[in-house]
Amino acid sequence: MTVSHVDEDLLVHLGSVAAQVDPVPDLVLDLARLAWTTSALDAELLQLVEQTTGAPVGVRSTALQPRVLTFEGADIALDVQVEHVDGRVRLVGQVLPFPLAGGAVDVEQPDGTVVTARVDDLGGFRADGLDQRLLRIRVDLEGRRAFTTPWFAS
Amino acid sequence: MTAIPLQRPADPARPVPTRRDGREPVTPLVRRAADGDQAAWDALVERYTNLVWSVARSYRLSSSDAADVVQTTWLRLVENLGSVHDPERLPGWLATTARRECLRVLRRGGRELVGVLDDTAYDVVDELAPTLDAAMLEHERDAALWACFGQLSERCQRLLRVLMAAEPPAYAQVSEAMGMPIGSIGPTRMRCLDRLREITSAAGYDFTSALEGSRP
Repeated sequence: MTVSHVDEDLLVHLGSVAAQVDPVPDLVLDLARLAWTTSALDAELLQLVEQTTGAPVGVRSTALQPRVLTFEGADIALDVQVEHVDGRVRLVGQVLPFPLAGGAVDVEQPDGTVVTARVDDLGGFRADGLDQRLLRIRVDLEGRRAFTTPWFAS
Repeated sequence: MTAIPLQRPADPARPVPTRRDGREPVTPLVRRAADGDQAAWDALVERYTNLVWSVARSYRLSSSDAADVVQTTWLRLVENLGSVHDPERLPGWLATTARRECLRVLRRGGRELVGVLDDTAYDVVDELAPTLDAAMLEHERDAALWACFGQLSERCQRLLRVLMAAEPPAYAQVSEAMGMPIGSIGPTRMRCLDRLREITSAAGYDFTSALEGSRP
């Protein structure tokens, strides 16, 4: 038996031990299958171009400090501030260019729940009471392709 | 539905190639998933979630943080499914994406994390490490092996967890995913396994000869 076979056998064996000691939880597999339902091929995917936190320089940022995310697409941009209020997440954002004629944004969560927020004349919107760790914002507008942010951590 | 770059017209004259193990290769699975076939998606999930989970756990994330990383990684794949140009590289893409999400979780920090990225942390009790419940393992020596594995350096544990996954990526992709030069993966793997055998041997177990008998 060659050395590489010995190594290969040990790795395979380690893999089988890992599968017993630290198996992938069923819930994790279920969520991975469910991810499929979030497909949004009809929408333009915006790119995250900037992310800033409210943490002072030198202070380690934590999950609970407000962050501002900036997303951009071909001809549209979306800024959103992520805040934590009473254990829930609030998004305060703006879609540019504005105004959007009586538009609304949908804040989507991986479990399929959607919170719709009205967009004001300046492109501003606000969504409260979100409770999931991952969120994305989708905007459907008359006369153009919808666009969506990637999933971002709340 | 919008056109998907990956989509190709089906050619009934060309049978779907299968591998020797009878499973469908990854490329047509990715194409079918991009084309809207949920069964193909499920097959990808079943094949590669073990790898993504292994990456997350190799960063010593808690079970819930690791679950978040896995979910985020698959959500990212859904977002990018239409623009995967080289489906053969999917395992590497998944590992790379999972690693990036792990680092993001670690950077945000403070939440349910103990001693990450710190080799000295092995001296303290790590409540978040995979719980070793000897009763879960049939053999005492498997329990010992896993305990010894936990004594390896973080770098060794991380590399081996990816390589021992059910569907490990090719070395080129491991290199990309782990931020390691490709030429160092083979030697590091050998050194880490040698080190593991030293540790197990010191603990009174011999995994070289013991495994020989278990080869099919």
